[in-house]
Amino acid sequence: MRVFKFLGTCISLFLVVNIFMATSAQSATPIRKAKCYGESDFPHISRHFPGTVNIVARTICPGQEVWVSIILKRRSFLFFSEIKTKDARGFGKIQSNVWMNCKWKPKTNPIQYEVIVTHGNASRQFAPTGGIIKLKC
Amino acid sequence: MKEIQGWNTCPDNFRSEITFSCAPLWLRILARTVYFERFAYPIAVEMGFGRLFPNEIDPSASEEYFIGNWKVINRRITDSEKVNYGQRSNLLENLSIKNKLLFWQLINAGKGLTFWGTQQKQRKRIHKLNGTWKIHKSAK
Repeated sequence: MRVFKFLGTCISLFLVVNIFMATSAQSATPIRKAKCYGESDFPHISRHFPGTVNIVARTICPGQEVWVSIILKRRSFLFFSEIKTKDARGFGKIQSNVWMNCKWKPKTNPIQYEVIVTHGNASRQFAPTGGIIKLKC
Repeated sequence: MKEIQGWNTCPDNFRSEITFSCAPLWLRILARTVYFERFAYPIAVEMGFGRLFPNEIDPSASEEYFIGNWKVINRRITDSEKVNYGQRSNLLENLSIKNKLLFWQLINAGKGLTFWGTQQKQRKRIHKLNGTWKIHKSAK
């Protein structure tokens, strides 16, 4: 009997502690619903490093951990494409870039570049951006 | 390579954009036809649907001016325009299974048969994922 009483008190104590912790967590300051957004440029020929195509993307979300994931594709023969990717994480604001060496030759058609960027934050919010463009690069 | 205005050539130091969404139906059909799409571009430029964005904004020039039939947008692109082009979006809690499938489709969107079709397909998927598709459609 004593064993059962002891077990009963243990369970009730455990429940009380759990309920207390849950209510205190709820009453804690909620996550600030700041305006979070993601931005990306069109792929462009770099001015700082001529001979490369560059894409810059940024995620801004004050007071939270943010990440950005960039996929840069260069269309080649038929359905084949060259791909370069990059992921970056930061706090509040993160900016990252991906580059590729130019491949275009004079007297040929411009090459199609495609960019897909995924922006996200610690609250599991998510947004994609992107663009497709033809460049002589 | 034969030079076709709007398709494989545009004035130097500019990024070109053809707004086929404002063009007549027959031109949009032509722009969506494999191989023959290239002939839609010079016609669209002639009709005034071609827009140029300079690589570097010239502060001495006016905000909008013309080079031939091209309309030059000599200013920073506004946030709403960026949203329209799929370059900017607000972060939302939208990681549903349907959206995960849409995201997978977005990654494979670049495999279209025509350039404008591919561009439109990618933008549509971005807007659908961001929940701005209806606004984008009505803004056309």
